[in-house]
Amino acid sequence: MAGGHPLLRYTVRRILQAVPLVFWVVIINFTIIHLAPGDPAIYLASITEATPEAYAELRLECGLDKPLHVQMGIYLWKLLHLDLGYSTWHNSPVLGVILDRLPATMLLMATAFSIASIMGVILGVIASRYSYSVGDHLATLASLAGYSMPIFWLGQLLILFFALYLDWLPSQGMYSMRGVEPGWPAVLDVLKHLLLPAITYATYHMTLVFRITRGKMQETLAQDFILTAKSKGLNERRVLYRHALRNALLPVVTVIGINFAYVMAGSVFTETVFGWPGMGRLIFESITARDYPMILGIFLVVSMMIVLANLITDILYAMIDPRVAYG
Amino acid sequence: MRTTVDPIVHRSSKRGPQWRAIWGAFSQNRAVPIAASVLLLLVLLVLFAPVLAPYDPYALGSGSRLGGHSYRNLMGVDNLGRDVFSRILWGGRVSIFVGFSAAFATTVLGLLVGTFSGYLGGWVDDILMRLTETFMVIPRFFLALIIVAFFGASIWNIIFAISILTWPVTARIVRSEFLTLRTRQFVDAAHVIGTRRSTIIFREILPNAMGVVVVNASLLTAQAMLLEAGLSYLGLGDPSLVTWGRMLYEAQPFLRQAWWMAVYPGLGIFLSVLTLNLLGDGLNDVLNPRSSEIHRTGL
Repeated sequence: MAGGHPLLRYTVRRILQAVPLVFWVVIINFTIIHLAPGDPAIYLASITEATPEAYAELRLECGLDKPLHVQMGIYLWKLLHLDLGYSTWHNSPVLGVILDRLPATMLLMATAFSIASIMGVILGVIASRYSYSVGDHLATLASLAGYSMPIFWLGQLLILFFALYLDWLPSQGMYSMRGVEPGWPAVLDVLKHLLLPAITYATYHMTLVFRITRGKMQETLAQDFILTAKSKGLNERRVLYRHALRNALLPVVTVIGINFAYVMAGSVFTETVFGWPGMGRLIFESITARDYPMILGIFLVVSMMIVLANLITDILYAMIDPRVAYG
Repeated sequence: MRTTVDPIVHRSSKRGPQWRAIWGAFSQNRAVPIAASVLLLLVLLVLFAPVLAPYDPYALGSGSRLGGHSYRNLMGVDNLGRDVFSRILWGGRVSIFVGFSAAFATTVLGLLVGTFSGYLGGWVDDILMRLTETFMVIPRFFLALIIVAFFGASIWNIIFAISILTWPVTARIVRSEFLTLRTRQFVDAAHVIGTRRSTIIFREILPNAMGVVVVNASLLTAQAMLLEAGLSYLGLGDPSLVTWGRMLYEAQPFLRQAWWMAVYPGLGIFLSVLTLNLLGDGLNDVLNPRSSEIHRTGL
């Protein structure tokens, strides 16, 4: 891999390093899921009241009669061909169902995540500028409160106040039950449904980003080079954002990266509270239905997101801080 | 090569002055006494649930279904006619118990792994740290869901699932403490006078690492309570016990009719977790004045 931009080479190498990691995670997930008592055939048979013969046939169909290592081999082989298996529960291929649900989650989480990250950083910088003022104390306490709240309870409170008491916004789902005209009214309809769940997740994420930004900015602002910059007569905004923030940003990016990895866990709760038709609901439904291929498929997607989050974080490091070597 | 002068005067046989210093530092921090009092109050309330609760938390017909606040039912009645106030007291017992037990189990496991890894080093350290890293990559929350959903939702399984997923962070914190402490002069001195290895680990190094461990344990308790509440909210809690998370799960379909079913249990979780976090922050300021940052992870 000689030649090419160093950042590009670094990226390619990191992706190659991630492959065995994802492979390990798949094997561990597979083992844990299959070691658990009960299997998907039992669940399906119990709700359809199937005969023992039908149950045996179902096991055969799912390949559950073969030894564990053979099942794992078959699964990995299919995986190499981008075949995530077939979900008996949904009666369709796993990949199709996941791709069906992904956009709703992306809309919700991408909106909430990006707005919260930016707001968290800006508020953190402002709080550090007015350190130990009344406003700063209040903001810090509020952020601790946001961090200590179960995310689904916050969702319930928002529903109680904004949807049921004030009746401003819808409390459930992504679209209105009554048909809405296509075009702008439909977009507006989705936006109205989006607002409360997005605020719910964003609050949690924003408090984390705020806390770390404020702390790091306070440390940075106490350093000598800030004093130098100020005594040179640079205007304050420039010192704050160009000099201090750039140096305080690395740990902030780390926290954002870690949270991106956990974004799916947050989506399980947010989507459950608001009946949002995305991946979070799918995860929960699949686990209760013991839909093995679906659980494994989702796990794979989630693990890949974690790896991707780490990769993006590392690349951002290199972009923010030129001293970071592509080690 | 070990030329750094140890700035910490190592423990004396008398514990008195040390505790006085800690208490002195505590009274400087206004948040800590308040948080500690609120937490203590909550713990006392749930401990005395058998005395304080006016009704059996599982008894149907303790009031009219979905009935609001009254003198008979301070926090209203749920959809099955159970008294919410009594359920709050009994539910808090389980929630707080799970929080403390999981934090305790995690701390013990983390101390064990971290101590061996950090003190012995070498291949032991290598193996234990690879194991730790693998556990950190697995999507923690989903694994907890699977353990509880597939292996049964008893509270012991929940405690087990939470501890098995949170110990790696504790182990790494303990390990890094051991790595720095074992090169200090007082440890060298102990070696020179022929102190046994186990004595060095347990009497010399461990007490000095406890500050970090205690802070971590208080944050872990908060985290464990949130995780338990999360599992219960998804309907994966122990079905035979009431917890605050389970009450929120039961409240979800009745938000329109009975807001009290959702507000009070959430308030219980919120207050406990908030005070534990405040306590952790305060303890960190007192016990580890040099570190400004404490390890926090998301779900």
